[in-house]
Amino acid sequence: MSRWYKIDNAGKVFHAVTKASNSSVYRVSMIMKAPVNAVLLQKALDTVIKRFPTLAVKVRKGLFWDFMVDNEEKLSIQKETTYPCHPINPRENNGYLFRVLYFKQRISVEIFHSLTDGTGAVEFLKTLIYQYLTLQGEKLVIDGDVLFPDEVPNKYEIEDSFEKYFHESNHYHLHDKVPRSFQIKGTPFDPAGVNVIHGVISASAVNRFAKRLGASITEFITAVLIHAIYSETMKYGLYKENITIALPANLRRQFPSVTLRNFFAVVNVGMHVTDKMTLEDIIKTVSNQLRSKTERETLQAEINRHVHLQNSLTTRMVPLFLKYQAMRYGFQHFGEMAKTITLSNLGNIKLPDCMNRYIKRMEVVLYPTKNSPINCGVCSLNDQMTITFARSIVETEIIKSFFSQLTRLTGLDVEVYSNYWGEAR
Amino acid sequence: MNHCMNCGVWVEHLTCPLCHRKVANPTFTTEVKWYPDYHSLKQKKGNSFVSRLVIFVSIVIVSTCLLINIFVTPDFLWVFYVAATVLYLLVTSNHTINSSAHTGAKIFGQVISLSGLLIVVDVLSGFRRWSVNFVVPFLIITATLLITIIILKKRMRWQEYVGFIVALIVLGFLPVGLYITGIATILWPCAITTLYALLTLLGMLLFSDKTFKEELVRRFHI
Repeated sequence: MSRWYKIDNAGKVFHAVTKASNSSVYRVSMIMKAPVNAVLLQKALDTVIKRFPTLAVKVRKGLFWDFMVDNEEKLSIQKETTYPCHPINPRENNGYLFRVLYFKQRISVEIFHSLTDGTGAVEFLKTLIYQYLTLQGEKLVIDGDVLFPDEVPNKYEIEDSFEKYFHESNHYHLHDKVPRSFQIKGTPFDPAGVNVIHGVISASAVNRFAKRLGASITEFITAVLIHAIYSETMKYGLYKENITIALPANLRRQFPSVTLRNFFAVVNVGMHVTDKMTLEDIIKTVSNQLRSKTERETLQAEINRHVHLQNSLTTRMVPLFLKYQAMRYGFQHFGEMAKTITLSNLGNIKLPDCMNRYIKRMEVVLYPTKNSPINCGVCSLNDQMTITFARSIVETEIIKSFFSQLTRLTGLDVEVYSNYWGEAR
Repeated sequence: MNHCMNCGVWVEHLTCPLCHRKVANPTFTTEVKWYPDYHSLKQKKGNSFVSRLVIFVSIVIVSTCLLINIFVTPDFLWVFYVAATVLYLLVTSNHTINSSAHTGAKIFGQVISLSGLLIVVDVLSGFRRWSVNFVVPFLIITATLLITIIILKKRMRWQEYVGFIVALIVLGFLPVGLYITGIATILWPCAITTLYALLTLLGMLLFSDKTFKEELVRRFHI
């Protein structure tokens, strides 16, 4: 009898809100120094997939909740042919909700967000690369930074940490109304697709620069992004809305957990920007908000609120198709309308030195949505920070302004490359 | 690596992806290819065009018949026969034939739509109750039998059909409900349908060990 898993608290929403214009599929990639050997990559995947039982699943329909069961089918790697974060059709993918792609030197994992968050995806990718390099004949000694492919998964890796850290409370603050934030408008690509622009910059140099301003890398990038959005889209208009950046926060940092399933909360950092505000002012506001909103108590309240809502008898007894309608409403009004853009920083990815020498850098691509047509993913590896903008609209002003400001402010070189979806090379 | 003077960034292309201008005095004229060419990517033509065409044709037929019906024979509304038939053909075309829906869903869809069509025909022709007395019960039995056979044949992937067999078992109690409420007037077909549903449920519970019960727990977990 195959095992089954309840979908975790965050994962449930993605089943409800996924549609053509919102694939809920994100990508993590590693750029190798040598072209990818497809045969070895397939062999590596065949081994590694067993190490991640909560990824090797297919979705089944239930009356009150959908659920996931073990998937024994083969998952084949695919040569990349279409744009990143393309929707995943399980029927065309042997029931799987993730895929492994390769193109020249890049190995990518694209995952439907219901399965896991960025941390889980990166762990999978690291183990896949480890196995791939081992099959190439490299002698690698790993020391805890990578999950060993032959290990038996432990129970803490497959737990739902939302449930684990949920505390009963008498006070669950439900937002009555979330103020609408400024929304980026643009001309959708025809045919629809995702254009990605990557900017590569020295991670240590950016870190030093941010520290000089009293900020972390995430705070600094968030501030530059807010400034870019304001200067390109709002400066000459009459807007009352805030610019709000949605920042997924890794809850494992505050709540000890090694789960390979979703365990994140979204922190909204927003402000009303005026002409008189300098970048330093924006950084100060971002830092204050981000630090207070990522305190353990605040995140605990978020976990309690979401799990309480999911576990209340009223919610549980309502048939799924009605719950999906409610989730779509909540996602649209409390999620999408409350933010301008999402910025996800996976941070500095740690790999053993013996693996680092085979890898150039990493990329993370965050799927755009109808209300948030530009999203930003950041990650660092080997002192190479890759800032990736994924967009579903033609306009590039905000991205251009962001990178121009970044080079002007820091004086650092930024290398930019794109997939040119919807554009002539 | 080429430098875009306009944006102040280094680019690995001849055109800057940020400002879309050609890079002035490129030092590298061969582009680094980080992504595949999308020009050759064939746009996937789904079934959406055929589906929409069928819907449009259906609307044309029904609306034309409605107009003719109102002007020519306003005393006899035969347009409902046409509308019910067109609706059934629409479901058959767009769901049963022209979609990637699950076979179980297709069978279930046929039971509902065919029952609906025949009930409409029965009602319009004087409601002699042959639809609710015989057609609906035996359609449910046939569909339940069909899915039971599929489950027995598909030993590896039978769990996929559990939702549909459960739905049909529940539907098996509908004819008795129709009899109790007086809509159906002949008891034995309704009773046979309910008995068949109960026996199917019992058979599933007895012969599938714990797996069927476990599958039910999964499907109905709250």
